[in-house]
Amino acid sequence: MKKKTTAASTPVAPSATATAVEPVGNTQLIPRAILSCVVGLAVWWFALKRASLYLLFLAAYVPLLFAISPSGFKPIVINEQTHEWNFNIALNMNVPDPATGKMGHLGSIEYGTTEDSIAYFVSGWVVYLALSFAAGGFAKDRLMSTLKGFGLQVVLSIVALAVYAYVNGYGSAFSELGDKQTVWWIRWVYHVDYLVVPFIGPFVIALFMHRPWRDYLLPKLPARF
Amino acid sequence: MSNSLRFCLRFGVAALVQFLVLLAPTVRPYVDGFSASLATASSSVIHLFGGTCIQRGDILSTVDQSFAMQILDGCNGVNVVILLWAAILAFPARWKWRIIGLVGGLAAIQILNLVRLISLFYLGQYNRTVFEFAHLYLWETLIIIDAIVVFSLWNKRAVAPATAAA
Repeated sequence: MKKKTTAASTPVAPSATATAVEPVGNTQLIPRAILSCVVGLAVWWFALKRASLYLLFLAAYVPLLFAISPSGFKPIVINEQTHEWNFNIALNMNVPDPATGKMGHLGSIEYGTTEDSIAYFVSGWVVYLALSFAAGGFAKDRLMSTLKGFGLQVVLSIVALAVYAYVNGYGSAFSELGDKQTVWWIRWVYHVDYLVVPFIGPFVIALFMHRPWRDYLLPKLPARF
Repeated sequence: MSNSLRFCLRFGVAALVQFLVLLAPTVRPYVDGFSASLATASSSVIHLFGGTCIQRGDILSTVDQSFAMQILDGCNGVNVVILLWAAILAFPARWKWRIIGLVGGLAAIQILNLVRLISLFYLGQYNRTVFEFAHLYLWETLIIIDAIVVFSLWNKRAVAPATAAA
């Protein structure tokens, strides 16, 4: 749809202007979102997963260096043979030695996991781009907001990855301490961070960045509630 | 504060509180029971259409035991139900409409989730790589889109009476 231009002196109803800049109608939004998510996720999973994980590694390395790793250690090390991700997490807490039962200082912990476990955090990039595409976000005049949203999505995935590494490290240490209440809270953070944020994150960002999604989801919010 | 932002804050708080409840030790047996009932429902539908499977608790397996899948958190659709419920609770509407949304939303998501579980059961026997893709990413995204459609359909009906009442 062509974008209408109106002279400043010509009075135009707000709804008419809104319709004019709307590139995708509500009826097309969901089918386009389904199609672009299916195609995007399939292409990513079967062809681009490892490359995207390497991009996440590059993007997350410096933030995680300051956020989670003890000094002198790399925050993430990827095993070249198994592609396993190993995190070095600073803890600085006293825990019982499993062998002797005596309390000792634990400065840091190493936590390793498969690349498929980390792929959750990258899938949001693909879903966000698919949702943007469905909302006409790849049009010239919308590209900047799509890129801003993508930047937010990358930041979100780095934060979620850092939280994931931290809760796994702390979870192991607090399990050793037998602190059930803290372990329960850690499990709650883990659940939200790992099973919810990677999936809902792109939808929330698309809602903020793309008007068709706002119009579809929250069309008539009362002026104040 | 914009309305969208206010809605998102309410949504976030409602979701986080519900996830606290979901993980509460007193609630866990009910959630596990619900996952087992999904396995029972999937097994019933498979048998209804002439298929075969064995169900034990929350595990669904083939008769020859060559493939089995367990329905856990994340596969039982409860996370998405919580997100939809949080959106419904965060939205300004009458309680009558909220209750309609909560019940209808639960049904809409769990019906699609049943389709997901059955499709995954057959997909897992056919190809494990495709199963992993569909299980971890594809169906998860499609069920969130389902929740979005349900929420959009609901709020278009729910907003009018609430606004009139205000």
